[in-house]
Amino acid sequence: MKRQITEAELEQAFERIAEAVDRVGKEREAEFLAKLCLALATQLSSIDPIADAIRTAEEDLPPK
Amino acid sequence: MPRPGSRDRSLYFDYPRYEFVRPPELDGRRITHDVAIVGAGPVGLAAALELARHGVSSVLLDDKGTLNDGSRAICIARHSLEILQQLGVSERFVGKALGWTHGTSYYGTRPVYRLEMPHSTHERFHPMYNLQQQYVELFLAEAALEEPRIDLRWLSRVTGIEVTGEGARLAIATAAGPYTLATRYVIAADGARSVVRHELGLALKGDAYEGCYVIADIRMQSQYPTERRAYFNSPGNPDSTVLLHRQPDDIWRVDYQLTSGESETDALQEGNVRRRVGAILEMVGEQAPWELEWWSLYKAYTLALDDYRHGPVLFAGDAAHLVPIFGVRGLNSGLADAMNAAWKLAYVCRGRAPPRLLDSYSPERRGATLEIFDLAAKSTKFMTPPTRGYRLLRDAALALSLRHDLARPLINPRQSQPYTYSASPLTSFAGRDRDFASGPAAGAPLVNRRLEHGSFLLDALGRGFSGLSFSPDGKLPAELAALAPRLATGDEAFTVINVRDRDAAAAYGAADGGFYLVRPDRHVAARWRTMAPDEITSAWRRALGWSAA
Repeated sequence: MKRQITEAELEQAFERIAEAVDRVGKEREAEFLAKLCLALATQLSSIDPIADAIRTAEEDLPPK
Repeated sequence: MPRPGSRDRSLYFDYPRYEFVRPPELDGRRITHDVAIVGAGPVGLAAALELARHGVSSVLLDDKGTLNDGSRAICIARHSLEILQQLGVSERFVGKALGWTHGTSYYGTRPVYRLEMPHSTHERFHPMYNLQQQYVELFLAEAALEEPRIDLRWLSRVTGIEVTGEGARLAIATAAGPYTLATRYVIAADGARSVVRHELGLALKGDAYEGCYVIADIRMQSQYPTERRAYFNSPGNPDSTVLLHRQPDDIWRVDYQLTSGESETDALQEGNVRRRVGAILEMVGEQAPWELEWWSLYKAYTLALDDYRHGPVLFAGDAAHLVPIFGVRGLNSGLADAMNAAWKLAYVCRGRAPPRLLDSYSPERRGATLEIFDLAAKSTKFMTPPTRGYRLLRDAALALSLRHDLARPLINPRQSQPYTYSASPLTSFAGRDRDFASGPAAGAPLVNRRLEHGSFLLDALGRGFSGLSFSPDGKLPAELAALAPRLATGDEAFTVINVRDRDAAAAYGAADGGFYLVRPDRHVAARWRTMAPDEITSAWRRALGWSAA
């Protein structure tokens, strides 16, 4: 069975991504986050979790 | 005009007035006290009561003639109630305080996280209680005033300290004139602006965090239950955070974060406080009239001394460390400091342990502070994101949590938990913890269990060292019966608790013959799957500082 990320690892991910966002700066933030998503997608074994994650991330966005 | 809620104008609390009593030193008496405690706040009072419980007298000095009105801790964790039970005062606290077990975090006005603190019928106390610090100090002060071993000297301001070969000499100013007090040891519990720390040239080191909170207490009748409520980006305080807590006497704590660039001076104007609190109450649907009791400004810091011991001086509470309020660790860690310092000083003063025992104070309690810093830094960065990156990630975690569990652990406020002294010089056989499937590890505080007839395991512990012996047939092993008298310390017997209850044994991961050696502050000194008298003796000696690892 595939191992789930632990709470401690999730906290580390939170901190590392936040600090990376600050390093790249506001103007390059969108490109950085898009690249991060693609890089993470290549580590998955199928499209299904990516599709699920896209649906999840599209929920509850602020109005345009 | 005094601010509402000052000692002169509280809506609900009558501050007692304590008189100055002329000390013998002012009439030329030369006395060397065992322990002087600077600061009669909750930490100093708890330390004095614990010293007295172990038969050691102390002088407790405070520059005020009443209780504190500047520090307003409200959350008392279960472990602190267990400490207060040891001090014999927990009934008054439980009678007045509001126990709680859960909380809710909201993104906007929609719930995103449910905090459920572990609780069961095996616990005597709730995981958390809300009680105003004034009551904490009042209950402790009244117990201290009844204790003949505590010489409580109000209106006595410490102005200087000199460390000598025999201990320390404190310079004290009073309305009747100055005097010098000689003492073998000092507990500096004189708060964030510690005079003792300043006079010894010591400084707190660490970090300051972004974000600034107004903390306000209001009086309002409401039926809302006692729980922690946290609001992120809510209509009551857009782009910022709000915390709400119920307290006794219809008092409610309203903490709200100032938005970036907001003037602290303006924020403290009474009209602005009323407007902001009103908006928050409207958001949560409160329509009852309310009165403003008190308010102040708060910023988060993680600051600590490099060493909590300076010769004969042990620093405790805010004098030793400042921790963020998120996670409610200030008062709770201060009480743990007090107990740790007091039992060790008592044992050294009464010759039951060598002065080397005190060397363990700073590693144990500073270790606890560093763990608090790690947890509190995470909570603080979530509550008040320091940068755009943290803000972006925080809001993403909150938005995801509207419908999904995946990011909810990030919202956990990481409430106060007691520290495990696994690396302490007093702890033995920590490496054997892997042999146990459950139970408190070496260095951890004991966990409570409800036993037959409704009593609780922790109720049975003695004043000094104790042992938990697990035997389902209820018979005390002969070798333990022979050993116990040799583990007495002075006039404090070694208390053996024979645990027959199978559920309790399972909770402690103990089979027949298992044994836990317990320190006076209820932390595990060592534990065994099978009792080994020689090892118990060596662990007991080590826990008293008689022998090193």
